[in-house]
Amino acid sequence: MQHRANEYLNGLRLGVPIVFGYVPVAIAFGLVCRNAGLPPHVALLFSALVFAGASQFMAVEMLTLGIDGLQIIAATLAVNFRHFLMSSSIASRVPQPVIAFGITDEVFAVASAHPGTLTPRTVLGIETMAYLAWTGGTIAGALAGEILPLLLQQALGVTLYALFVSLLMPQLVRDRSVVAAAAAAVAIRLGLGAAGWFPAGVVLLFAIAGGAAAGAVVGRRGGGGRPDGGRRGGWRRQEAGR
Amino acid sequence: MSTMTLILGMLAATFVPRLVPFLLPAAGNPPAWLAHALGYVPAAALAALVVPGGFTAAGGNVGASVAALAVAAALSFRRVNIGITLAAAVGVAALGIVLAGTGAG
Repeated sequence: MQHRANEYLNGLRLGVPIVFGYVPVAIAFGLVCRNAGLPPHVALLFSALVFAGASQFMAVEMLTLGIDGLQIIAATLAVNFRHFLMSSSIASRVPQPVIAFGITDEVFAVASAHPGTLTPRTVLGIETMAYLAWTGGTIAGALAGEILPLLLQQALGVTLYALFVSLLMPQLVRDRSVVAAAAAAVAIRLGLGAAGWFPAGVVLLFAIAGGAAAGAVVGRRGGGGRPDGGRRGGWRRQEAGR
Repeated sequence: MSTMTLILGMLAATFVPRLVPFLLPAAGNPPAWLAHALGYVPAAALAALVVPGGFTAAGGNVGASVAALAVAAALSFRRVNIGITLAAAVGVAALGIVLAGTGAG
């Protein structure tokens, strides 16, 4: 029993660095929800049930654009499909479905870097820290938004986009194929958006798929490896973007 | 679709890719070309999400919005902590709104 408790406690300790990365972004998510007119309990439900930061930000953005829920869910599936690869890797070491829900980019990174035997309790410990940081930060941000002056609330509108830029920049400087993916996605988003042929959510899906295809083509021609440097799961920035 | 239904749908969309490899280990090996392309999905999604909304995010003020995103880009390029980066971007946006006289006052 003591041995099992130690495994879990070790996981909690390993998860501490994730807390420092998650809390600021989770607070930002709570504020973004507040700015979008979503009540604090809805912000908390997003974080508690979806537990996928980038998709949560994306969903709030799409909601404010009036995009249909099914298109938001489809975009969520597209963005989070990389977790399929991460779970595959973790499952080969710890074949316990109980740890599946808590697998994020950062949990995957910490667990993968753990030397030696990786136990289910250790992974659960890492996931517990990540989950508490994400949900706690979200509710803090959502509640703080209630008391902020209007000027700051307006300025906080850039938080979401600043986060996207912050996550994107390190990837752009890594490989020109990533630049191609981003440029193609922007061009498709603006081009199809201006044409007005499709709903905004469909345009976004086309932009994501077209951008990924362009990046893959350029990456193949350039003889480069994966945009994440060969590790599974492309979203490498530690601080956010599950 | 209600917000609760949306959240439950997103729960399914995020949980299923996480769970399937544990239940069906053989499914966790997609074709190489697909695995390669999937690696570019996050970057493509981020880029597609920034435009055009990012240009008017600071209370509709284009200058303040662009300045804030430029600061975020510069700081993240320097690998500054993301909390500091976001705080700096919000600060620049607030300053831009005040200077332009479009703030709440």
